[in-house]
Amino acid sequence: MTTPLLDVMGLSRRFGELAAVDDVSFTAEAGRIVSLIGPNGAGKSTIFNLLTGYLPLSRGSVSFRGRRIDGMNTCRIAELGIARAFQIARPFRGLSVRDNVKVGALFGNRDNRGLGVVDEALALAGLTELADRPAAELTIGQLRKLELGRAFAARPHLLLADEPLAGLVPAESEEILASLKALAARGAGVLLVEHDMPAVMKVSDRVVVLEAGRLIAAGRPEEVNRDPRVIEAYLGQEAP
Amino acid sequence: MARRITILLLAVLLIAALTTLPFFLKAFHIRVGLSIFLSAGFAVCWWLLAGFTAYYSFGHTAFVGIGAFAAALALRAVPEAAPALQLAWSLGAGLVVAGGIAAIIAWPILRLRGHYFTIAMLAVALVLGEAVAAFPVFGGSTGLALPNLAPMGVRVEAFFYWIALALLAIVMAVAWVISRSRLGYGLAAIREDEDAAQMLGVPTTRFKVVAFVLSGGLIGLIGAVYALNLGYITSDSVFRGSLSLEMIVNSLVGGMGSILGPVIGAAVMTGVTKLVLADLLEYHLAITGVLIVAVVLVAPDGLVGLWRRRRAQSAGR
Repeated sequence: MTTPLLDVMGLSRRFGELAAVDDVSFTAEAGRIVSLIGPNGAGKSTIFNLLTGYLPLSRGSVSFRGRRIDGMNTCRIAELGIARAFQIARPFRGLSVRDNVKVGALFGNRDNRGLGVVDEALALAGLTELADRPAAELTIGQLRKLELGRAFAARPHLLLADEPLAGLVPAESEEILASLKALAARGAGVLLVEHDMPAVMKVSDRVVVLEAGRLIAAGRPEEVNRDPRVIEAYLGQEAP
Repeated sequence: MARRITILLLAVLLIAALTTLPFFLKAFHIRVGLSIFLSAGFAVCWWLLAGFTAYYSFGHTAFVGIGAFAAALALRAVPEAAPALQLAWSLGAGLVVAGGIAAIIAWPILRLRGHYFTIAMLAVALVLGEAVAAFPVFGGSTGLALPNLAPMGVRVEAFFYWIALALLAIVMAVAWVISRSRLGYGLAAIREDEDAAQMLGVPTTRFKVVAFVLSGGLIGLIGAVYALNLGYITSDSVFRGSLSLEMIVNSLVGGMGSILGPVIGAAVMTGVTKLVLADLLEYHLAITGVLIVAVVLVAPDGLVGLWRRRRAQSAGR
């Protein structure tokens, strides 16, 4: 049996009495898109914060490419090849689009650094035309692309994409989904948090469903779609 | 590439022209030039930290003082050495001791961000200044004298003018190289969003320490020249808060967005102070204050920023 790219076991995080993430286990594989879905407050973004070392775990373990990474700092985890595209875009506003992407290329995955990837990452994210524009002048849709472009440039083994489609028009969403699929086709794993269910069902190889910090279902999109617990969590009623 | 070569050629020509000026100028004007180069050198070194990372220090005069006293004490250890050797030894002492102390305080102080860092640096400068004044080894309140190291037949002001010009060129070259390096991109990312930079894999703590040590060490180097030029230093003369203020004001007036900003700011502010306001001693500080307010209102990105904006507007027409 091959080692999964990411192996999350019994992941838990408490904030006082609140269990934001409670005993969640799942895996992600290279070349696959795994989506984490669930209502607001389900713990999806908290899981991203735990995986990237931004928050410490209360319990559980996280292994990446067969190596424990829980307890490592965010910088070290990024160097191992986990890149993150933020839910609320955090561009380096004082830099141009190209320089933002250069930062991704010069840091991140330490096995694969170098400026040679910048043009390719700009193209993959659909940013070539905007390369010399200051990041401060971009629209929301363009900022989302910049988040992804910066992450692509880091040549990650695993990309954590946090609601990359939020606030985008359908055409922009399609472009972003195509970029994510292209990244997966190159062998990277993608962990996607997204509320756009049709998009999730279309693009995911596997879906992990969370509710109130707990994992309630996991499987292929069509299986999850039929799961009565998922229907209840989303629609607030029992499945017929 | 052609643009880079043109800029390099212009820089070489400018340095060559500035180098020859002391042969034609009066002593007073050479001293004004020396003041501009020292102020510009300090401002560029302050900018190395503040411009790259947005960590604004109000206490960088600490490194001027450390460099100055390190040079003065180092010279006492080699009283009989040749002047050239003494000069190299004292400048080296200023660089290494200031850089070393910067390295020691960097780890704890760079855990602070924003105003906390700014105020903590102010405290560092005050504490070091008081400590130096209190210990007899630093000459106490009477201070320390430094020998004249200018070669025979060379005017003292011209000698230090050339040294200060050389050091300014060196610190500008260091800043330019950093701005195009991996370190420069990492520092820029820290300036824009430190947490996001860290999550992208920028080793933020290590990079901030490098910038802080370079900034402090190079200020110590120029501080040694500052002390040698003064010939006599006390805690008050080299740990004075106005030196920190000048670094900040020169950088803001010139513009924080480029390496040229602190240099242009230092040239304008020192030039105005020494040449235009020299005969208006009573109103000198008030006029300087009004000038700073005017520049900030008219050119919030500094003079270099104003020039770039005008150029962009002209190009857009």
